[in-house]
Amino acid sequence: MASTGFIDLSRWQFATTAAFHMTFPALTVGLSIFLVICYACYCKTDNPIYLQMFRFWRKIFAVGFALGIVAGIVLTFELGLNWGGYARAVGPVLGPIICLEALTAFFLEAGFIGILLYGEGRVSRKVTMVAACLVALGALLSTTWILAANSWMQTPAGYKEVNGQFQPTSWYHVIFNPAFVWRFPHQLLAVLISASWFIAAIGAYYLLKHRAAEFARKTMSMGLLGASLLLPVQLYVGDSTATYVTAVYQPAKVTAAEGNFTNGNTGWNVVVIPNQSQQRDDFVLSIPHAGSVFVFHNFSGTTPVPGLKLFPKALQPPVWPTFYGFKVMIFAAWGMFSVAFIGLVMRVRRRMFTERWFLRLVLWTMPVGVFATIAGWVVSESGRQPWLVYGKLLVANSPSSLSTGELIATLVGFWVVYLVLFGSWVRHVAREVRKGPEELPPTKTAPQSARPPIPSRAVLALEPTGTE
Amino acid sequence: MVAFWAAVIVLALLTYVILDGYDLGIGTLTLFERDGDTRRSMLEVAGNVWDGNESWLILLAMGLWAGFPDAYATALPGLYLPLCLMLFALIGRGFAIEMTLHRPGFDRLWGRLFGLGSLVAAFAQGVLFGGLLTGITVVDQRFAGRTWDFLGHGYALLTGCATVLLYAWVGTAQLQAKLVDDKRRRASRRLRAMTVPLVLTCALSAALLPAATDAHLRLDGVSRWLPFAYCLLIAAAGFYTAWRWAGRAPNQVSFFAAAAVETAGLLALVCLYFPQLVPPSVTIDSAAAGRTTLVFLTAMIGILGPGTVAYGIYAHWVFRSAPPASQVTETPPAPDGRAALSPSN
Ligand code: HDD
Ligand code: HEM
Ligand code: HEM
Repeated sequence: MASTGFIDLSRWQFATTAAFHMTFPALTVGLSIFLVICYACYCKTDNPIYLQMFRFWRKIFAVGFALGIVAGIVLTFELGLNWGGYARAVGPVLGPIICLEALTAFFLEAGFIGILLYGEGRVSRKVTMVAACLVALGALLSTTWILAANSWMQTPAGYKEVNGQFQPTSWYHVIFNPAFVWRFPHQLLAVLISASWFIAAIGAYYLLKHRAAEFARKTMSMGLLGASLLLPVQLYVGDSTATYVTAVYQPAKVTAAEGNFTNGNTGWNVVVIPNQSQQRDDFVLSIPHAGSVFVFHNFSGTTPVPGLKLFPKALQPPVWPTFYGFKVMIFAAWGMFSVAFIGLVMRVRRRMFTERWFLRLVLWTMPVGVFATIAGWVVSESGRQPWLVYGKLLVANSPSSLSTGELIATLVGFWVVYLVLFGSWVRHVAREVRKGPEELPPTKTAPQSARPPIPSRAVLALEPTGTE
Repeated sequence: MVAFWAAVIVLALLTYVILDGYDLGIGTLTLFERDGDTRRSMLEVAGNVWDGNESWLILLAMGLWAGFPDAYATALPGLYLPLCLMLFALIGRGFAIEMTLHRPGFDRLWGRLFGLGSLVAAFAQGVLFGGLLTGITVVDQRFAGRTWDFLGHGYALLTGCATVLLYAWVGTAQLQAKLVDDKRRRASRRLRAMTVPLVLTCALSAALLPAATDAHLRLDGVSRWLPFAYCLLIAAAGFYTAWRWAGRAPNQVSFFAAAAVETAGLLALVCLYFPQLVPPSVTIDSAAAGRTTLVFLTAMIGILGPGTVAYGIYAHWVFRSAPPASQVTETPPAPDGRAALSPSN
């Protein structure tokens, strides 16, 4: 069939475009909920600070959301473009799930995003509130369905194979497949944590700059509070995902993530230089006994962690990305957890907003949640190699027959386009942040009258044209 | 059930072409519009709707994947390059819209990109449609042709140009309904000027199709040629109506006539091609997913479809080109009529 080099091009294409897409939901799902919270607080208290926060974050949200959409469209097509064999085999099972995503999530978001972004002044507060909730609901549903689809590939269930195609037999089992049950909450927490961290970091920026003090304190508190509530849950859920899903259904993934080839190591590897062709590690740095504690929860630290040699070489996942993806995720998790904990203590002692080293730390770790999320996906997706549908369909049997030339051309094309977009997006966010939140409306009673010139979407005749 | 889902796909395609067609068309036209103020207005008309309109593209793609996996798995690789071109263009364009919309005026860089992206996306869609019409080589349920086959000896380039023209025409029809005064008058003049070249291009594409395609075009039996004939009549009537009503009240007539032309054109092709889905060899029956899948899809569309359409309409209604309420109540209309907000004159 197709040669490996050829498949690798398609893989790189999918991996990079998916990671690019993931960056935006990782922020916008959480931001959509944050917008709901801000607006709800505003409606309840009439305190204009919440309106200020709502308007500021809405601007950041809008462009990220647009990028999420266009990058998402690319992914849906890519499933058929590059992976024709896969598209044919899994279409009857996964197609309807993504259709559901389109109907329940995308149309919902697209329908109400306009009202959320540009509807202020056209519709009542209540309608704006409902629109904000529905956009957030759409984002949540989107995450749910896509996780159902991907988890089905990890632990397929509720189907039968007919003519090389998977045909569903029970939709319940297809959707609530074993991996979904844990991976969905894990993913949801991941995107919420990523967004909370981002929000907290922007708050820290303003505190460092001594600007918009009230806004900055509220923003940072809310972000850090969110992160410190969610992180402990995430540590538990992440551990359960590893124990109840990955270790049970995909033991090879766990072994690759731990980075051992031979059985017997009870340590937890921190750095390895794997040599997969020789089936050994060229270099290992590990914390003694910790592997046994982390993987098996054996606190005497004596159960050895199994090694990859248990699996035939052809069915082993690549160690490099799986191992290091896992390390990045774990270190990010513990790192954020520690910082959030310190923050909590300082908050209680009323020092959080003034300790500059702490503010700087939060600011400089702004993207760490997003890194963890993408690293987690690298673990999931590399660790399921060489299968596309675990145990059933090999990646090698899934690509379309394309020419190498068109793959290289489009791969380079995507990279160039995405780099440019990403750069412009970062610049846009940086500029909005530097510009800062709008001035507070002067009085509490008439916040509406101080409306800034929001570009209204379809008001065409509003600009004075002079031609009339 | 198979036929029902095929009808849903055709409907999604049609809705997409009508809706995104006009906003791609408007984007293309910004390239040829010199008046900055009009450009900004055009951007806002498109900016209001592009994300909703592109949801139909996703529904179309995913509906095809779910209901007819073999068609998805063969047509996409067969049309690889024009599809990727379309994706690049849509990416750049969507991003550019958001970047310009949040700032006043018409940003030079992003505005240009918005126009160019729209043009390229429209062209790519035409090319891939032409590529599909001329046929895709499929062996053992896999695409087995070569990279440039989609060109169909150049036929796809013709349909690409026709699509650019068509979208621009529909976009103009939308503009002359949404803009006011001078801008409206210019739009309607343009609409008329574009009608004749468009009719000629469409006629040429139709005339060359039988020679260019590998598919079996069929007009045997009254159930084919009669609806086909009706479609042609409706298309002709639509062209005429759009031309005739350009610039007159009620100003939505031209746009609806243009939509009727698109509908008739697509249905005429359905009459010719049915039941081929990826011509010549993949048909709706050979590509259909199993029964459980189709039952699920049918139930899904039955339950969720009406709600989706309802709030889609609500969202458009909110932005039906009225001003923000507060603007009306808080700023008194300027005496020189600048705040005359309703599009009638
Ligand atoms: C903020 C992000 C974040 C954080 C703090 C963590 N994770 Fe995670 N992890 C993800 C973000 C993530 C993810 C990106 O969301 C993944 C990829 C796919 C998925 O469902 O979740 C993931 C996947 C994932 C997998 C692979 C699941 C599979 O495909 O079988 C395992 C085993 C873990 N995680 C384990 C952990 C552990 C033990 C953590 C803490 C100690 C942890 N994660 C923290
Ligand atoms: C958005 C988050 C995601 C990220 C960051 C991601 C990342 C990756 C990576 C790194 C690879 C390459 C694996 C390798 O070859 O070593 C890959 C492959 C792939 N993923 Fe994902 N993935 C994501 C979500 C999904 C989802 C939800 C699906 C399916 C609905 C999916 C389907 C695929 C397919 C078809 C491939 C190509 C075949 C393969 O190499 O396994 N991915 N992805
Ligand atoms: C686990 C990883 C993923 C998550 C959590 C996720 C979530 C989301 C969310 C929340 C949106 C809304 C836009 C935004 O907020 O930026 C979105 C957009 C989109 N996603 Fe993903 N997605 C993931 C992976 C994928 C994959 C692998 C595909 C392709 C099969 C995909 C297809 C899409 C599409 C087509 C859109 C555009 C939606 C629109 O028009 O509103 N997503 N995604």
